[in-house]
Amino acid sequence: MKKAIGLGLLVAVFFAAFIMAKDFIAVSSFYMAAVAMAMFAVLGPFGDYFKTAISMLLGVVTGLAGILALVAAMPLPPDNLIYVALVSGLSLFVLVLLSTVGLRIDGMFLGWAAYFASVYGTYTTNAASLATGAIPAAVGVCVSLLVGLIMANLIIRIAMATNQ
Amino acid sequence: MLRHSKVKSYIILLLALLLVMAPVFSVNGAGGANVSKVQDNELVISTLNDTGSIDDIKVLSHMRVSGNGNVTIQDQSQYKLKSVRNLYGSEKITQKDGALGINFKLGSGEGHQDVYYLAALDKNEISRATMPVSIKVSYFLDGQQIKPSKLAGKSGHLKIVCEVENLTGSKKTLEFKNNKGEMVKSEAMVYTPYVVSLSGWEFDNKKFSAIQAPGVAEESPEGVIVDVQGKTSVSWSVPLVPPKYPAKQYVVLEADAKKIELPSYKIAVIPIVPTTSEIDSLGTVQESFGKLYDAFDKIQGGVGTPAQDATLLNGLNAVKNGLGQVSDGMGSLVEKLTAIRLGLSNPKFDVGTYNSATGTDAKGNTPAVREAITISKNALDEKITPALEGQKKVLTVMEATMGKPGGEVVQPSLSTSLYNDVSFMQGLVKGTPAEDVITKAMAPKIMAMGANLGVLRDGGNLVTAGGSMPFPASINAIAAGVEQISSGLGKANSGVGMIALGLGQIGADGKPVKVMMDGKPGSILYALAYLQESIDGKMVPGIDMLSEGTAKIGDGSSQAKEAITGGLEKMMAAPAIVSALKDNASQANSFLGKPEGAEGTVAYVFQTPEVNTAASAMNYGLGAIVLALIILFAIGRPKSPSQFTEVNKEM
Repeated sequence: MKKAIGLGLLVAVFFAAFIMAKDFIAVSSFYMAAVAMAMFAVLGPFGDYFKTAISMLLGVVTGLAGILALVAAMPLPPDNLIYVALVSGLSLFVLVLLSTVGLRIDGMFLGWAAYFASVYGTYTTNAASLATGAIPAAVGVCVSLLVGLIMANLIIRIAMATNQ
Repeated sequence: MLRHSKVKSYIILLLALLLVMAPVFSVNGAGGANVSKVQDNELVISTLNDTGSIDDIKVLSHMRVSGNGNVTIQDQSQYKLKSVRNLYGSEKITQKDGALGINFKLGSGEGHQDVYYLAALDKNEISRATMPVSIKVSYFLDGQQIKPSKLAGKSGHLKIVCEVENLTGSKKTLEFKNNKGEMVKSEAMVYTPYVVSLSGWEFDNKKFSAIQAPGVAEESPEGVIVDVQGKTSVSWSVPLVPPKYPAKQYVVLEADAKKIELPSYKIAVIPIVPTTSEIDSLGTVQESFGKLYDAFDKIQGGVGTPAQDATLLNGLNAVKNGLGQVSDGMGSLVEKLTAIRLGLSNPKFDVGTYNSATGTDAKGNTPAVREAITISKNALDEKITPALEGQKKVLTVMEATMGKPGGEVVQPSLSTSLYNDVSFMQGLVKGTPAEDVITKAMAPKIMAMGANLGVLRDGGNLVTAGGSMPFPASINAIAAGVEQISSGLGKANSGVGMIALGLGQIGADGKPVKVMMDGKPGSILYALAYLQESIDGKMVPGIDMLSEGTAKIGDGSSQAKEAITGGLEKMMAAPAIVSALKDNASQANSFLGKPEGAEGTVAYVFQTPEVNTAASAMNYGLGAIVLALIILFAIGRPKSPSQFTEVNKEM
């Protein structure tokens, strides 16, 4: 129990420190770390966290490409839902295709969704600002997701330790 | 077979529909389109780089076409474009021969369609692009100029200076009615009016304090500072509308800053003649200027010229001439009075050495009136009066020698009187005829002679053969007269002395000696000389200065009239200038160009470079990603089968 409390405190401090440093490392959607943690705690002690990380990053990259395409080459909001649907559908189609080469579909979807959650509000209200803000947002989302993944790994280790 | 016939039926139905709809398509086609209005509004967005020059120009164009049918609008572009993008729609925009072709589908009824497109200027065109207003933003940290990119994360006293200048001035000939109602032409520098709005420049209160946006009259407007919810917002409105406002102005922001981060600020430039709610007092001012002109005209007329009758300068000239005459008269008066003064008394004359034979003193000086009186008095007192006393003594002796009855007759001798001697002889010839001669003739005559000698000395009745008669010319009477004359001469001397004193001393140079009493001239001659000197030395120069000053008032009035006339002309020209400004503002309606016959507006926005630490944050973020991947690579991969075996063994 003592070990669990100690490791739990370690995770809590690590997460708090991550939030405190969010501006320093260009992270705005820090809460996505918790989503990633929740999603991938199920990977278990023998899960492939690294592959999941790569999948999440690819998902973010796909989301970034979709947003850039929407911003740069398609009509802007508000009357552009069809284009959003088109890009989103195409993105998910690409992700599904990528899953066939061994990447985790859940990781890619989470990466894509996290990025869209992070920038879609900006896209609808001030699309022009994404010209400079899209890539930093992608970096921030990636950091959040990877931190969540690391913490998921830690939590599994805590669970393992307490079960032993 | 049935299926085949169904497809055939659909094709026939489609063809039929196309035939039905054909007339509609032809109406909506380019040939049948009816465009009633084209409105092209442009927003020119310029991004300033680190050096303050324009790095990028994009034009956000909003085109609204009203009418019906399908139409392709040709929007002119005077600059080569790098890219054109339809922002909110799918209408195709083509570029050909310096024009943009935009397809509009307006429908069959009267309506309109909006197309927003963003055109980016080719980089090579940016230097050729002419902006109506120049914008220069300079940053200073602790008094030293610094590039914005170097500001990020620094602390100190921050000063941002934004210089704006209207570059559209050109000479124009304005035609208007002047204050006399005549049509006149005047050349003036007329600008296209622009208002620069630096609105909502926000500063985080955690990073900035003591924020100031001071203004300088006729140079720089003061900013409006509002502190709301942790951010201080500063706004300026800079009208670049000569002649009412300068064509070149600047705004200043100062603040104490720490870990500086600044967003990209927007500077909007809009061609507009600003309408304010200020009360227009132009009419009243104009009327006042008219009155002022009349007043200055009267002043100028009143001042006049020396040769012009009934004017101030003429009057002053007359006063000056009169004073000159008075001065000349004074000079003559002083001269004559000086002569009189010298005739009254000659201080150099020495009475003691007076020689009556030469009529001068030992040094040859001639006596004046006063000295002559002194000489005369001295002669009376020192010579005539003693001579008369001597005569009186002689007469007394002669009277005693004559003798008179009453005394005892004694033997005649040298000391006895003639009467005693005659009386003695009478005693000797008593009874003889000689006694009768003595008694009746000689004795009475001797007695009469003695009495008359007394009368000659003291006055009284003179005894004659015919009786007695008054005798006024006695020696005593003459002595008394001489004494009166002497006294009178003494008084005359004093009087002449007083006159001479009153007239004043004459100096060796022949001019009145300065005598001041209680701060005032103490003699007539000096007073006259003083008066003349005052006239010549003060009053005449004073009049000259008055004339000069008055002439200046006249000149000033003339200049004021000219200035007022100029001012009135400017006021009268104001409506023409405002009209020209409005014309210019209405003509400033496009940057890229606009379709023929289209109405348009244009506004400009300049964006300052963002100052933040995002680049370093992103670097740290990328570092964090790499680090996370390394960690996951190390601990997040599934164990190899051998490791599983070892684990299972342990279990």
